[in-house]
Amino acid sequence: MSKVLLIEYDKCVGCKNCEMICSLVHEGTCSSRLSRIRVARDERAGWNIPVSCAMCEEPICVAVCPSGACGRDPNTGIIMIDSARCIGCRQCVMACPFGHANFDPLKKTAFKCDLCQGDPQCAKWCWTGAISYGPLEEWLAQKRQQLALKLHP
Amino acid sequence: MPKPNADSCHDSLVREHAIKTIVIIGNGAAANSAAETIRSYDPRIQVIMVARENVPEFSACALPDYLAGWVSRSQPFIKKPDDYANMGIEMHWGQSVQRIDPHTKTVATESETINYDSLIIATGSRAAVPALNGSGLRGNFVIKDVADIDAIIAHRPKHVLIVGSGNIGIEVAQALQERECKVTVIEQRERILPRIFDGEPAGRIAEILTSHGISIYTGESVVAIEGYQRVERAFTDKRAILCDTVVWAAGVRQNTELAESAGIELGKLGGISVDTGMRTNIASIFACGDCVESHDMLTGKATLSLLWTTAKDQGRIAGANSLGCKLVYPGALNLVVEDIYGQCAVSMGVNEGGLCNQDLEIFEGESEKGYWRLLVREDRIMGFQSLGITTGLGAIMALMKNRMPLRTVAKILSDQGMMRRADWYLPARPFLDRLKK
Amino acid sequence: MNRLIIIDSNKCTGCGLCQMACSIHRNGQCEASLARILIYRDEKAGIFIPMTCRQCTDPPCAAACLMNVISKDYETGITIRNLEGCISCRVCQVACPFAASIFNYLQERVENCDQCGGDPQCVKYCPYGALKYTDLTDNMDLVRDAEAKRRLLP
Repeated sequence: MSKVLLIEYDKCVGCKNCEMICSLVHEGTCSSRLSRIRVARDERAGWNIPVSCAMCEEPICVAVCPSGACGRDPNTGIIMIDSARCIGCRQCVMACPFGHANFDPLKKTAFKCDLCQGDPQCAKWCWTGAISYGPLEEWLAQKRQQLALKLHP
Repeated sequence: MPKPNADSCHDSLVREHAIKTIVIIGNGAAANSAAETIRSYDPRIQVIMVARENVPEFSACALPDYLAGWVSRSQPFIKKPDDYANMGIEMHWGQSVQRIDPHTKTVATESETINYDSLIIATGSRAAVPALNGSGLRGNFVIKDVADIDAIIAHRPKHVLIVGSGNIGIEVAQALQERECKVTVIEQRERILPRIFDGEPAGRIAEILTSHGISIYTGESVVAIEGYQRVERAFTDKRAILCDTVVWAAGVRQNTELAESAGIELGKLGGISVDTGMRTNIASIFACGDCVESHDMLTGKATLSLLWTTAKDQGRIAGANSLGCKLVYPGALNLVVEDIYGQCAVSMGVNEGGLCNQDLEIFEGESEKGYWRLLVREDRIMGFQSLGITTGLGAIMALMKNRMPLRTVAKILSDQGMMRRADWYLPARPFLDRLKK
Repeated sequence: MNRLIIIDSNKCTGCGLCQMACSIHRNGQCEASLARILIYRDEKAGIFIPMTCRQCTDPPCAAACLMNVISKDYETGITIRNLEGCISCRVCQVACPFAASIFNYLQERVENCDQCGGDPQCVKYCPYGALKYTDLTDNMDLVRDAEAKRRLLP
């Protein structure tokens, strides 16, 4: 997969705009619990960290799914959960090391980020620039450039 | 069991398609599963079931248990007659559908014509009894519903010949042995349970059965049955067998005549041909259960899966799709569990005969509990058979279902952190340990 | 309600108290094979993993059941069995990926965890906190926080 969701923690202010737009486009309602992306925050310590699917190359959520509902889409390369085949055993939710995969309390099936089929709305609506979507190489080149500018202003 | 509010089948979708009446032909596992699914998705839609028989849904799998006397006569029945009305299903008992007219969207029984918006055909199958000399005599039985079992019990069998050694044949053999009958099993192929087990496990099962006094003759077929008014003896191509009862368990035929006359296409194997959404070639007619030709989950080949779990699964898909959903049937995955005199014999996936492939790897093993055999192709589990083992099989089944490459499994099992996350793999480890070498 | 028995196998020492509590509460006798929770033990590697029913939404055991006796209670989310109809064919045992269908040889029936009707005894008696009975979503928040803290540390 060429494009990835890039998250820069230091830019996130914890507004949870991404959570709202995510649940709105996927579930038709604004609710943190139904959002694919979640912001972990500690106001006292002062950190906000958006956690979304890392699209691992060897995803443990796919490995632990006993029904074959969780898998990589052969066309797009995105790891998705087929809610019709999901048996709701919550294995992917418990296995994800990032605490990303989530569980719908009403439908009782697991859900996870599907990158909005290649047009992630969280990246589009993030006004601080903490979330962006693009090729990893381009982003790394930018980072290198920024570091270089810091060293040689 | 369908999930409430499953997003793939939304209420508005149903109304959009203006489906008001769904007619289900049949009253077996697939038909009832479809009806229950429709009810759970939409409580208002009119569901009409047309059944040939006059009894509520029963589990064919419990029939041998009833025959043996282990369970009471009421036990095989899953539903009570008034359960249908309680679920809001209109049941038309004892009527057989004569004609389906896809143009006017009606089905006609002997007495009435019913309109449908979606039609689900779940006519099932019937036991195949070849037209031999004497196969019409008193004392010939099939195992298909509770009345058949009643008839066998009333016949008071002493010497029984069972033709065919599929799972029904073997279970009935044990059940009649329990009733103190002298039981003989005749199998046309070279081993018993030919469609379910490979040679080695089948041989072990045959050994257990013969040690309990059941005679098994393989590689023979029945050519004639003789007797005056009732069965007295049977002839195979090699011997004559004295018997007063013959039980036909040598395969089934799909009930496809009705569908065929309506212009619905049949597959190569003789079942109704359906796509992955259980749709037939005619719009808004669906089919599921024994009468359908579906595909195997592991090999992708067309198959006639005649198992209870497959029928239920197909019924669920057909029921949801008849409302306008777009569920996809992942394919039939065989799962057969037999009790062989207290030992649990399990077969899942495909057996060697079903794969007939060169690059098949076979791993066998024996523990103090029992014997197991694992079939691997292209680094994926294709089949598993065991005798006497009950633990850890669910994990094998799941690994088969999610098509997990075995090198990934080995990788996860060699890493403690990953192992803890994928903890359900662990019971399967005894069977997979050998693969690493 | 999304309350579940959540297992942290890192804390489990394999003492088996959960099994004893389950067995004595449900059957009146202490026997690990009668417990509806089992511990996978690998003494050499020092791994002890308790496993019990995951209370799946669409349980494979129910899909496989030959007698349709397994169903879901949608209010509590628990997988329930009508053991009257069970013919102990053991198909559910083979269909369950989590080895959570337990054959009870006393009653000759296959059973699964029913969370003791909302007061799981195994959780009560676990001395090390390996078993928790909490809301899944709350537990996820803890996991996410832990992950966030891990990322923050240099």
